[in-house]
Amino acid sequence: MPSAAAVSAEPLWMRTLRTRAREQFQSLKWPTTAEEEWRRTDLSRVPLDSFAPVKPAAPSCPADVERGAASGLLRFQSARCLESALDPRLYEAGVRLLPLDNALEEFEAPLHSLYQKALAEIDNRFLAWHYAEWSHGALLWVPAGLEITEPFLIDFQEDGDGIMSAPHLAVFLGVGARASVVQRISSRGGAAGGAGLLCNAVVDVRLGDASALQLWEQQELAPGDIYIRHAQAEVGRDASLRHFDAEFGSRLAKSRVDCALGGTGAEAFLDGAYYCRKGQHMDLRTVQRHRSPKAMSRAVYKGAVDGGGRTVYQGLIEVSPGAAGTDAWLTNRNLVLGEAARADSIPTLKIGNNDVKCSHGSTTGKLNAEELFYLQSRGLSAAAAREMLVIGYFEDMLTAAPEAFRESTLDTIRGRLRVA
Amino acid sequence: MSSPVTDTSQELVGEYQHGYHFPDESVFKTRKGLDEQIVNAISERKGEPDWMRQFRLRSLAAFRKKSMPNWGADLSDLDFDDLYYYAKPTDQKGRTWEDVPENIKKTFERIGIPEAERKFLAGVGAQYDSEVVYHSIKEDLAKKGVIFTDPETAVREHPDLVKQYFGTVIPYLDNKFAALNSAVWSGGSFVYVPKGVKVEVPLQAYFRINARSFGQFERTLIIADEGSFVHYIEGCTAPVYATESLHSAVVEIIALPGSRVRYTTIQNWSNDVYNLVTKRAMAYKDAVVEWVDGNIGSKRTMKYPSIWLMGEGAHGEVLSIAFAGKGQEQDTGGKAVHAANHTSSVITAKSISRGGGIASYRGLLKVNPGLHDVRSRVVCDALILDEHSASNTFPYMEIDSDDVSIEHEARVSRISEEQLFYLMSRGMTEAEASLMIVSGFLDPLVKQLPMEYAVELNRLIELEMEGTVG
Repeated sequence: MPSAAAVSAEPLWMRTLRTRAREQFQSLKWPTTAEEEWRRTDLSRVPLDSFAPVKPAAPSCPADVERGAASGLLRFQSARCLESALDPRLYEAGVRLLPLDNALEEFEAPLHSLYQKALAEIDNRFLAWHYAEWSHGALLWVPAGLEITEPFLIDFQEDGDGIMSAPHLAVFLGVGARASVVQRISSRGGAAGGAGLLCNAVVDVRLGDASALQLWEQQELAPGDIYIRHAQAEVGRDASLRHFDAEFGSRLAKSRVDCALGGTGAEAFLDGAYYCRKGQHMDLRTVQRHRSPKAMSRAVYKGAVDGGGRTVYQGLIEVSPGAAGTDAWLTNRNLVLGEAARADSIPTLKIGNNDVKCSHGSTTGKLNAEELFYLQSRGLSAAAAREMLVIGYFEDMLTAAPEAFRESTLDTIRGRLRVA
Repeated sequence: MSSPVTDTSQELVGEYQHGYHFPDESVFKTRKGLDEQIVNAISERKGEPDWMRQFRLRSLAAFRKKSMPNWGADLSDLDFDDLYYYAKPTDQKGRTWEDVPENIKKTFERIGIPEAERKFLAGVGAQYDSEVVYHSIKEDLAKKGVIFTDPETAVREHPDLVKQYFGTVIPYLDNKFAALNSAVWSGGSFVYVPKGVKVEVPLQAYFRINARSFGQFERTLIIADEGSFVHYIEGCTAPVYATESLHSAVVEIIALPGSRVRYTTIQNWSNDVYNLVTKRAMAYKDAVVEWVDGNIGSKRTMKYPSIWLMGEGAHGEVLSIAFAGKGQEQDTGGKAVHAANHTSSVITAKSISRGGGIASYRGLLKVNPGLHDVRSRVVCDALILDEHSASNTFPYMEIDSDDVSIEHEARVSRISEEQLFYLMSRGMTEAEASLMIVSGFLDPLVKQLPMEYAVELNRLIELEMEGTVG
């Protein structure tokens, strides 16, 4: 339970919403493999009830730290905000980057409506748990018409053992606004043999008409931790979302990116890169929900699986009867790098209307033997040739990424290849 | 018991073309519903040995225990207690066409089994209600040692073969509908092709449901011994009833090393039939199994012909065509399970939905751990002809090995306006142009059918397409 002090400091509307979410949590059961979405991720041996929600820390946030080249920065450690910074010119223009608990008064109206809608659409117990017990988070607010080039950096370091932490990111872009966000979730890991951390994260994105958001997420939890993440986006008329999910850490990751194209002409790119090592289990899902005419969406998920790793990718394109002129596709590619690696690929389409162009593709295979041979014939070692091909496989997805994000993602992959 | 088709039932089922039937002359029929007594009665009626009766009873227990699938087509209207599970049409089996009872013959003629087929096709197991009434095997096939009979006869005359293979590809515990079929199966075909024998003309059986609320549970078992070849064709068409009928067949194929089996189905049940079928083949070393599966009729179909590639060099192909019209849900596809090195599979699916119909591709591609040189390709194409219809694609790919090459693509689209415009500018009406585009879309699959089936399928598509424009 959240600490009495922190909760009583919250406005009544948030306490009411938490109570409602808690009721939903009580009435729902943990997902089982009988549900299609969870069929390949068996939680029955994870003692979920033993994870105690982390207590929200008293808000204390030294502001005006060095923010580097970023437009703004928020850094959390174990549910406590450590650093916060924002370009003063952006602050003048009305941009806000706040720890969520400091934003509840100023942004009551948008947050209230966002949470109400989220509670109405809860379809599993982790989401209810998150909204009942969210411990810390960030809010980014960009007013209409503002175009911001440099990214906002949000860093969640989630340390702990046997606890459930629930970081939250809420992003609101006004009409015609443009922004870029980099979110990193990591942990140092608890003692060996401990229960690990259960990180139950949610990202909520609301994009006003003609706005554009790039959201770059990277997950590097410690090998003993569990990662449950729901990203939920609503993309308005002519608005654009580019979401990128780089999944590396945790022993069990279950991630869902659910994007509703709610306005005519909306577009969404839901991309992801994952590298699954021995003993890891990653179950990633994207949903391209076409609810309005003439929207476009693309999903490209590329993964590499070491021997003894297990990945699942489940993609869905869902087209409502009224969404004429839909143009959507999704692609999943899996590179199997070792014996006893398992990569499941389930790209699905649900199309309720005939004025559509929808397709999906999926390939699974190993590194091309001829390419490996060619590189080695040019003098590269087998390891260097392998690294070059794997990096090349991922690199072309990251051309639009902020440089620091691209480099850190590729560095993580390089590091893994060198250890393997 | 039954009456001629009334205007009401015509309305209920739309434009179904084969909507006539003759008075039901079933000689023996169990009461509605299903319990041990019924199963025992079926077994007794067939004069079965005790092992088969026990198998049925075990299956019944499994059927009760198994839950309904929580995925796939909407089966909420299906009431297992409101069905007859067995009816025996006539006492004697016809030896030649002349011996077949007149009214049954008339029914076949109305469906339009071409005269040519009766004369030239090797063996015709024509099924009226749930038992084979007419059966002939061309003499040269019999001489080669090919067995083509109904499974009841096989249980009596070839118990060793039946015991060795029956229920080995699809165990009665496999799923609820396989369990149901295992409990109450009746009729179907039993085919055994000896080593090295190539059956050059397709073996065919026509199936027909003709009693009100009557479920039909054929059981087909095909064993192709080493180096043999056989093409089996199953076609269905059923008369019209307002109450729901259930058809739940089980088809097992064993393709022993070096053999090749092709199984072709054109399913055209009337629009009130639930068609819930389990079809699976085992392909051993260097064997080839091909399923050609066309689904045009029925209210709900759930059918995913499967191939388990059990030996090195085995190859499997599934070609699936589905047409979902008004009130229909075609939940079809194919499955390939790779269980050996150097195996390959191809699944090609094409579907068309119109008039509010739902066509879903559902398939599985599985590669077991530690395999080498496995290749597979799955391609799904869907056409949606109007804005009320829907198309879904659920391909499951479970890849457990690293030395594999797996490709999958799916596309959903409508008839392109440019194509329509071009054809209409050449003087075609919109209806003609649409039909031509749809025929072209299906052409690669229709080409795989024997000629008379291709003709029949094209005719059916034409009928289905009537009134789609304007």
